[in-house]
Formats: sequence, structure tokens, C-alpha cells
Amino acid sequence: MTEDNPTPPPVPTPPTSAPAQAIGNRALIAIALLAAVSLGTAYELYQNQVTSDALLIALTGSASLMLVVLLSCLGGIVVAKMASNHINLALLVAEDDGGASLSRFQMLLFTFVIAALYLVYTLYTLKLASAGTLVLPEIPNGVLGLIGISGGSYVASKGIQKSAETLQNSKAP
Amino acid sequence: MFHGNELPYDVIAQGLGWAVAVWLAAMAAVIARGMLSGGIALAGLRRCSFTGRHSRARTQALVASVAAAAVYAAIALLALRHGQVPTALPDPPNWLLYALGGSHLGYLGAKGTSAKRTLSQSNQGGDHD
Repeated sequence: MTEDNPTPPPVPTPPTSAPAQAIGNRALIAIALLAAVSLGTAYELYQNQVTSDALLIALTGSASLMLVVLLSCLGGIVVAKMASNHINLALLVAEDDGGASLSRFQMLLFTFVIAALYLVYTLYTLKLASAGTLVLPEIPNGVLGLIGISGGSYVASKGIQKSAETLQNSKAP
Repeated sequence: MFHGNELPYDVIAQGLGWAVAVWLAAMAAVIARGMLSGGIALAGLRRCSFTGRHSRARTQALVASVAAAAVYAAIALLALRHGQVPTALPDPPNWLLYALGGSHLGYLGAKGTSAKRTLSQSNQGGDHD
């Protein structure tokens, strides 16, 4: 009996290190709390017209730095989990049936290209502009049109797919 | 009261900017590695989801999307050559928008036609049964 129905091999699960994860989570929570407290205190001092500029600058600066650290940690954790397969990307550009989706692929492509270009422009602005004239680059209507064509094509494609599936299912016995 | 000039905002902003740049590059590298190694499924990118056959409409839309993204990236990067402070991303030329829009309309039209044909064929099959 057991030879006829052999038990399936156990599905491999990704290795987990619970203590490291717990420490990472606590560190993130601590940084987030510190940033929130610093920002709150700075805002309160600002609202109450406290004139101790040095204190305000120290608090605002430390809060800004902590936000940078917090965002970097969050981003690092997401990328590390993606790289170690804890976040599964196998179906990142796939349809429900597992086949690759052109609409998802082109949307991913445009999102990355425009995000990367905007980042390059922002860094270029930071490098060239003086401290008092820092302004984020504007996004012209043509670029919004590119993103719109890409996103609209994705939505329309999904609409066609879903309506065809719904019609097919409703006519199935 | 709030003397912004005394805080190293430009240093903080640059730090954040470079952190985001590294993050975006790492994410792109992880996704590219997945696509090249087969970890991210790309099989059937040119195959029609209704008929299961290779579709010319999908192929042209794929080529047009990659080409449009590459052309716009080249335009935007070349615009930085002048060394002036960029105030906005460059506007893509109209022909690029029309070409991409037309290509995607072709793809969607072919997909809609294919879906309709598949549905009508399955209905005819059901009637015969």
C-alpha cells in the first residue's frame, strides 16, 4: 500500500533565522520611534516659537538622518529578501496561468526607466544647484503620457482577459 | 526663526538620493538576474494567451515598448550633456508617443479579436454538442 502511494518529498522551505529577524525588527521599530519622537519634538518647538536654533537644528538634523537610515534599512531588507528568495519573484510578470504577461513586463520596464531617469535628474540637480535653489525636477505631460499609455495598456489588457474568462465561465455547463 | 541654511540639507538629500539610487540599482539587478536565470518566468511573452500561438501583435508591441523606453532614456541622458541645472525631465517627441500608442492599440485590438474568436469557437463547439 505504501509502495503504491509513496509519500511526496517534503517541500523545501527557505532557511529562516528567527533571532536575526527579531533583532532586525526591533532595531527598525527603535529607529522609527526615535525618528517620530525627534520629529514631533522639533515640530512642537517650532509651533511654540522656541528660539533655541541650535536645539532645533540638532533635532531636525538627527530626525532627518534617522529617516534616511530607516528608509535605507527598509529598502535593504526588501532587496535582501528578494535576492534570497524569501520574497518570491517567479510570477512577477506572469498571468494567472503562469505564462508571461506582456502588459506587466512593459509596465515594469517603463516604471524602472522613468524612476531611474528621475533619480538621475534629481542627483544631477543636487550636484549642480546651490543650497538655496534646490528644486525637484518637474515631470512634463509627455512623460505622463508615456506612463499613461503603458498603464492604460495594462489595464485594458487585464480587462479583455478578465471579461473573456468571465464570459467563458458563464457559458460553461 | 527656522534657519534652514544652517542644516546640511544638501548633504542629507544627497545621502538619501544615493541610498535610493543604490536601492533601485540593486532591485534592478535582482530582477535582471531572475529574468536571465529563468527564476522569473518570461516564457510565453510573445504567445497569445487565448490561442497559445506566437502572436505578431505581441511581438511588435514588445519591440516597440523596449525601443520606446530605450529612445526616451537616450534622449533624457543626452539632454544632461549641456551641464545646466535640469528643471524638468525632457518631453518625449510626439512621434514616440504616437508610435507607442499605436503599437499598444494594435496589441490590444489583436488580443480583443483573439478573445472574441476563441469565445465564438467555443460557443459553436458547445452548440454542436
